[in-house]
Amino acid sequence: MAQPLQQLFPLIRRSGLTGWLAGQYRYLSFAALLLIASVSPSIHDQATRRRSASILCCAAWQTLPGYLLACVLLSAILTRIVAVSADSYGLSHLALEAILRVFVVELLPLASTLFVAMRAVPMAMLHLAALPGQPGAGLRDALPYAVGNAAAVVILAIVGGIVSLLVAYPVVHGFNQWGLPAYTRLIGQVFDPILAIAFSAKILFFGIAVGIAPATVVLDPRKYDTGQREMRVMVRLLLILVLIEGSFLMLRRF
Amino acid sequence: MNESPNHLPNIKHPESKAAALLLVTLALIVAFVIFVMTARGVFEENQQLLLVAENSEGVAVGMDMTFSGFPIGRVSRIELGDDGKAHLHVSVPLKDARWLRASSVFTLEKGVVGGSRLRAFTGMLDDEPLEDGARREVLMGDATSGVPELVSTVTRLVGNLERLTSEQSALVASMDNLQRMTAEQSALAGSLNNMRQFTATLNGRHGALGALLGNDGDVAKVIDSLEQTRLLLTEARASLAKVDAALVDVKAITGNTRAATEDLDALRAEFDLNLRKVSGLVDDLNRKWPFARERELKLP
Repeated sequence: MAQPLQQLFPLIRRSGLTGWLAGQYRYLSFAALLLIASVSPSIHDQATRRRSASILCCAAWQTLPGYLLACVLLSAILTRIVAVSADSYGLSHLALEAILRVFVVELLPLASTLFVAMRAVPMAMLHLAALPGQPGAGLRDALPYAVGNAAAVVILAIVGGIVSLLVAYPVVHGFNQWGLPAYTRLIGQVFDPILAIAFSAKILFFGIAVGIAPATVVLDPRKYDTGQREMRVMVRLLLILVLIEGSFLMLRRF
Repeated sequence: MNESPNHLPNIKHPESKAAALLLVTLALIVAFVIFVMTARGVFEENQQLLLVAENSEGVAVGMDMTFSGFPIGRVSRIELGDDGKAHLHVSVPLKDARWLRASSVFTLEKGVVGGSRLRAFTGMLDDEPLEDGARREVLMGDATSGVPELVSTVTRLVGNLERLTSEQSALVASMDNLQRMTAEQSALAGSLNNMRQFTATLNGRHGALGALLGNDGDVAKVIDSLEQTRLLLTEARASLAKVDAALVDVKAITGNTRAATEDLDALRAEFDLNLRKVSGLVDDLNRKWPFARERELKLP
């Protein structure tokens, strides 16, 4: 088994399967420590809170207008496309439900996650990746990035989702109130308890992934240059996101 | 971008802004949860309705039950009952329960596209209200169940159509025959022309007589003959009248003759009687006359 793995992963070829597993264990331990630290109030002193707030503002406050604008445009265009397509097939009554289930529940959390990640990863690379010969950053340095980025993902996903819900209605029904009862009922139908729990959990896991993955740059070997390290972090993040998304798709079947 | 001494972007009042963001998000989450709970009817008073169906295919928890196209209830629970049938528990808000009456009928329709539809029909809105916890049978309607039979029927129909429209089919032969019959040179067309001429002749001056005889000369002869026949008949009628009168006379003569004949019969009977008497007298004379020879007396 080790031979094919060595061919597939260069790291395994260099350090062996045991060394690779030990490296992954370091990452997992660091992620667990970050997770525990983020929910430990004693660690969040004044300076840490201030840095977490700064990173949250940098990832969410500053990007919020652009993100909301993109959400409004995307949801309006997608809703219009789905509504017209469904109407042409005589399935207009399913258009809004499809928008809610596909765009709001599935795509928007992923979009907000990637939106934050595109801003969080370079910032983490800039501030956490130690240069060769300099002392590396520690857990306390990485914690504000984990907390700030995770909170930014949750905030953007929630706000973007609600804005999309508000945009989808006038696109389909126009600016009148006669479709509101049916739309309200539809939202109630789509967000049943199971889906609401899964949706919340997915956003939370996406946030944790975006919070922790860039922070793990402190564990990366210093011999790589900044571009390679950034690429490693992005690949790591995308792999985690794919695992989370796949897990939820599998859970939906059970 | 300005950066603070700890390598972070210099943002004014970051803690306040972060708190505001978190508070707004928290408020949005709470408001959305309350909105969804309201939309799902959590805060409404409901009455329960148990619908019993043959199966629960296409039915999901949360599915609407509609009345005249408007949702008035939702499926809250589905279970397999002890009778082996699907039990659909429907929650109906009290404000919408007025549409359901004791005589309401419930149907479960499975469409070709989309999920099933649970519908309620109330014919008499002034009937007794449906009681809480009522149990009703569901009428099943499956739009796809008839599709295989429909396809089979359509296949047979297409086969029959193909046989009907093939070149060797009876219909095509009949059409050919019809075409030949209706051609300009056909016998039917000739017959029609003849019929047309015949009717024209019938409508002519001499009518049916002209149509039968074909020319005016013969018609004139026939008419003359008929006139002569009429005269002859008149004369014959007069002759017959005379014959009738003669017959009356003959009848009278015959009566007289019959009377005379009767008299003759009496006369002959008297003559026979007299002749017998004469015969007896002659017999007596012969017996009394010794030399007399036996003579035969012949009657006239």
